[in-house]
Amino acid sequence: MNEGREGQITGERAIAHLDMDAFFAAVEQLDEPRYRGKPVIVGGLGPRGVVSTASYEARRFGVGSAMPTARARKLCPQGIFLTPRFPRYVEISKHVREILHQYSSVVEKVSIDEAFFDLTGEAHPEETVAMIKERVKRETGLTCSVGLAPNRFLAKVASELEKPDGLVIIDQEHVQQILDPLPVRMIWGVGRVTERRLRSLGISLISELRRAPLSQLVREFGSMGRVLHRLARGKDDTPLNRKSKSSSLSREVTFSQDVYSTARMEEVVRDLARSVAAQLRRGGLVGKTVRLKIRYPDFETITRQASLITGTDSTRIIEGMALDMLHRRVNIGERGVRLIGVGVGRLSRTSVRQLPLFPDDSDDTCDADRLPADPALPSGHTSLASRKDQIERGRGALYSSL
Amino acid sequence: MDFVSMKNELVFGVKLASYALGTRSSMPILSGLKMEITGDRLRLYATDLERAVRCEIPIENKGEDESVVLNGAILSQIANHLPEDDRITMKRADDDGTIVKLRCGEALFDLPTLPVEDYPEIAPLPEKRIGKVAVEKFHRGLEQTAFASLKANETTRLSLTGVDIVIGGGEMKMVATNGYRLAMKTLSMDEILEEGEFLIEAGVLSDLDRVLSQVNASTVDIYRNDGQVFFSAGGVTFVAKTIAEEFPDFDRVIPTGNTINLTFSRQALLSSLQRIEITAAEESGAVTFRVNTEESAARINSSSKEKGEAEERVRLTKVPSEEIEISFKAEYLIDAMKRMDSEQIVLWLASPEKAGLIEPTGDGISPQDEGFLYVCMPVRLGG
Repeated sequence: MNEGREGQITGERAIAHLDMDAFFAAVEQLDEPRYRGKPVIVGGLGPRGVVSTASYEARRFGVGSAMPTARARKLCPQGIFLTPRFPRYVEISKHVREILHQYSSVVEKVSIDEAFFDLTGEAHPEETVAMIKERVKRETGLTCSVGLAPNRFLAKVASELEKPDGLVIIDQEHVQQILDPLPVRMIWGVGRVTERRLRSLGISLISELRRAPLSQLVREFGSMGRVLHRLARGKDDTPLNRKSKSSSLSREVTFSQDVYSTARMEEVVRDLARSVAAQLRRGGLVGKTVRLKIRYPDFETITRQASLITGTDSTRIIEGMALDMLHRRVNIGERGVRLIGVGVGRLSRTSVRQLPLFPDDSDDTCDADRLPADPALPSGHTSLASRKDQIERGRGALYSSL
Repeated sequence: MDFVSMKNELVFGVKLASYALGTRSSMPILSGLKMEITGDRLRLYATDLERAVRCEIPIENKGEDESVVLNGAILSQIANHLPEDDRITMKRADDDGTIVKLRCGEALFDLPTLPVEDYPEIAPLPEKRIGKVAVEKFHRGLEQTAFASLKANETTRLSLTGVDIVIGGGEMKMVATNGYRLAMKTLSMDEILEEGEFLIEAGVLSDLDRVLSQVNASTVDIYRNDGQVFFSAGGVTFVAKTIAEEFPDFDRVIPTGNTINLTFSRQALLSSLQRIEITAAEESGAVTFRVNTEESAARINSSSKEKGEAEERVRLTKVPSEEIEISFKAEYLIDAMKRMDSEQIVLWLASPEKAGLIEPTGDGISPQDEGFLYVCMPVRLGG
């Protein structure tokens, strides 16, 4: 975890949001000069295709994202209709992110054309965002809109205020002044349905939402009501997610001498499972697949995988599945093993999770942060760390696919 | 071997036995259907070692008492396509002892036999009967519980692939769970001679259910030996292997202190859940219920970034005693409500992270729903 994150939440933060302007269409106009100044529409061109991005020229005809391409053709018959070239967009997107990483250690990629980054602690964050914007233009040939504000929600609002090629800074004193006249739709999480319900309460502007009593909002929207109440005041503590897409986590050990004893292998699998589960819980993650990796003395390496219907961070479940694979799906009898790894994949955040009926079966009640040692661990049982002397490379590897 | 049987009798026997035919190529003999002739009785056997079916039909025996094993899948296909005729004759070929000739009307099949000595022994009915239950009730019990278990390929915890059957106190309890929801049916038995508990894979029980639905009998006798349970009705015996794992202690997870009563029209809640589920997030499948103490309605909504959002108000018969916001995987609630029959159901809640309990309620509790209850754990939403 990055240091200073706590400080960012409590103290004054400087969060920026960068959004590429009409990204796909702009790339096409960049790469093909003939398209410049003309309405360019990128999307699916089949009968059921949908518009991904429309250039600003095309937007003047009423063409917008997520609109059926057939409708866009009616609105803008002279438009240039193109299918997306994702590899090219990814290339540019990566370059922009590299620029951001040079200025901020915390970059949260939202999508291919959008990212948040944290400039808390910078002496002059407004200068930094201006510089970033300039570099993006110079190095990619594309414009972007950037917002800088004390939190994530406001930064996103700021980047949208003067699109395209905008740079808006919201400071604490002007928050309410800027938010009040905006439609509630500008609030992240207010979709069509919520918007309609707010309107039925006579609320269509953020200023009106701010005046609505908390009790009314909670009655109408439950816990979402509390969020709306805070956002209408420009309050948002949400930290940036650096790694929202980490999709697997694993630990492995290589033995200094090949292991032939099944009991020893089981013991190591149990230790690895416990360690992976604890790491999942620390990271607030659950996984839906469990993997067992075995390397034989001749370096042949195999992996076996099993799936769960619901994500887990439970030592017992991960251990049970890994041991089952060890016993039934791997030939360990005479060959011996050189390396054993246990991993969990298809990770998602724990915040949404199906609760178990039999909690002590799956030790879901265990909170790894408060209980660093696994409560299921019998006393006197040595942990992985204290047995490092027997293991060549005791530290497990954490890798993610994105 | 040389006998004549009524076509309908033999077709019936072959069809029943087919429910237990093995498909594992590692033991080809299990693809066979064993026919054992004793006097004027023909016994048919099939097994895949997890389950076995044995049934008996009358024949007119013209030859010796003996046993043969024929390919079950072939026999079953033949049984489905026999010509118009009342009788079937089966006879070992005169010139080749490894061939059985089957004739029905003008149709003649020459069927190769499998080695009878390889066929596994199927245990005879144990002496000790443990009880008797009405087929109709047993069927309904399976229908309302087996769905709650896991498929064998979804878990390594065998106990969660089964339906736990507990006999005692004059009743039979059937319980199944996937670890997140649990279905339980309590039904009265016609007779109990021995109390006990056994766990059988849900897939095996659904084959038993199909077999029972075709047998002309209103009750089924239950027998037990070590590791097997025998269900016998109308001359047909179905043997099920029990799962040698312990079923989770379900009694302690059935909530008893839930005080928030949300009574819905079952049909209204079911159809609105089926709609709201459309926009539920892929990962959790969660829909959120919200009630307050001012309104006799629950607001149910779901949302996901990709699919959109949906909300609906569903009428309650009375204003709730407390306000609550709780989320469930829609599928779990739908699964249970689809299999109920009553006009009204009640969802008993305690708090957002405690199990909800669904039961039939009101004046119109259907006899089909008697003794049914369903427990479902909520989904914890972020924050």
